[in-house]
Amino acid sequence: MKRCIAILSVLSIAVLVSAKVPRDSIYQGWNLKLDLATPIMELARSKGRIHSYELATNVSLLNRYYPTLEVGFAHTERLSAENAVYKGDGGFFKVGLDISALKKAGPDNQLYAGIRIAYAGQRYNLYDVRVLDAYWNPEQKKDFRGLSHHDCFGEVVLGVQVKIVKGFNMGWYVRLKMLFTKGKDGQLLPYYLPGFGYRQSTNFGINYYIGWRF
Amino acid sequence: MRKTLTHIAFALLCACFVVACKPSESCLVQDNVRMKLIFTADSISVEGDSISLTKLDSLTLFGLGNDSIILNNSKSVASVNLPLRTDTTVTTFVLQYSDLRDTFSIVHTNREQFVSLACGCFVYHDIDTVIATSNLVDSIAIINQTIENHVQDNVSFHLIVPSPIPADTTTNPTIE
Repeated sequence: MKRCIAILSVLSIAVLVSAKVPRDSIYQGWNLKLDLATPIMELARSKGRIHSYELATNVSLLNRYYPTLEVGFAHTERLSAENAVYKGDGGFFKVGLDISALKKAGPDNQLYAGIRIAYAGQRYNLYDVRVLDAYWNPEQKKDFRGLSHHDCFGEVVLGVQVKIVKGFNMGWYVRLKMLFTKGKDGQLLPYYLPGFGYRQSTNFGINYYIGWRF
Repeated sequence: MRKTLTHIAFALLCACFVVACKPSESCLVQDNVRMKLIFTADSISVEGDSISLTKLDSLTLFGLGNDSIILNNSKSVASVNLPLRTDTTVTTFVLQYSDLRDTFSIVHTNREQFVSLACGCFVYHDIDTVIATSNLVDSIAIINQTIENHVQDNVSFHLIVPSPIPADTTTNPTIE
């Protein structure tokens, strides 16, 4: 439900600001981008156990500065060698700024560099986790349900956007991601963070977008 | 500006290759969470003389309801590491010396410590109470309530055992 409200909010803003814009104004339109690479790559890499979707929008200011908002969600499952099962659902949002190096190339063709600050939260359950108890109950397994965790991370991004037809563009982002939050020792942490990937101190990602310029 | 972006792009791509490797998951951990129980004892002779002991011989110890024996008529025992139950909060053991036998129970809370999905989790304990029958056990002292390894002393038992005199003795009759 919250995801639907977020998407509807983005679309509402699109309608409000899609009026024609003078060439010399600060505001030069906005872009909506759907990531095609992440769902396919994560599904392939995880053998169908990770479903991750991302949507990005940015506003063009002077055709050079692009305040950016990215949202998405992920469903993750994992089966360990000991048959323990992880299931998690969560979402993320990222805010940041891109700066374009190609101001004169027109609003549809851009080369970006930017930064993001991101928040990811998720709820997850663990089933059939082995409890190490060799003397009393060596076969003991336990479920951990209703767990939740929040993380903060940052990104440095580089991106390219090219015009395909009027108002329609495509491009990619390369991202270097740094996780800022750490769990306590012995905490049951989610192994996959929406928008970040597998839990480790640094990560990298690639997005391939199709986009619409309004 | 373009030149700067080219340099940034090159640096970012290099960094991506460095961090792209996903660590493999392996489990090399062992369950070393044990309650360390240390023994002191007085050996009472037929004549009524008391001898203070630092180690005990002929000690047998096992968990109540468990076939596996932790100490089997062991010699020179000064301490023992005992596994507490992870599935309940009361763990009971049986202690035997010669023909005398005591049962003691540890009431504790459990705290799961997750290692990984493949390895599972340890369980740490916090001791609440220790109770025992008094055929051998004279007094009980909880030294450290928290059990997170097998190194730190947690509980001390002072026993009164009959002669014969075990291997390692001291002649100091004073009992602390």
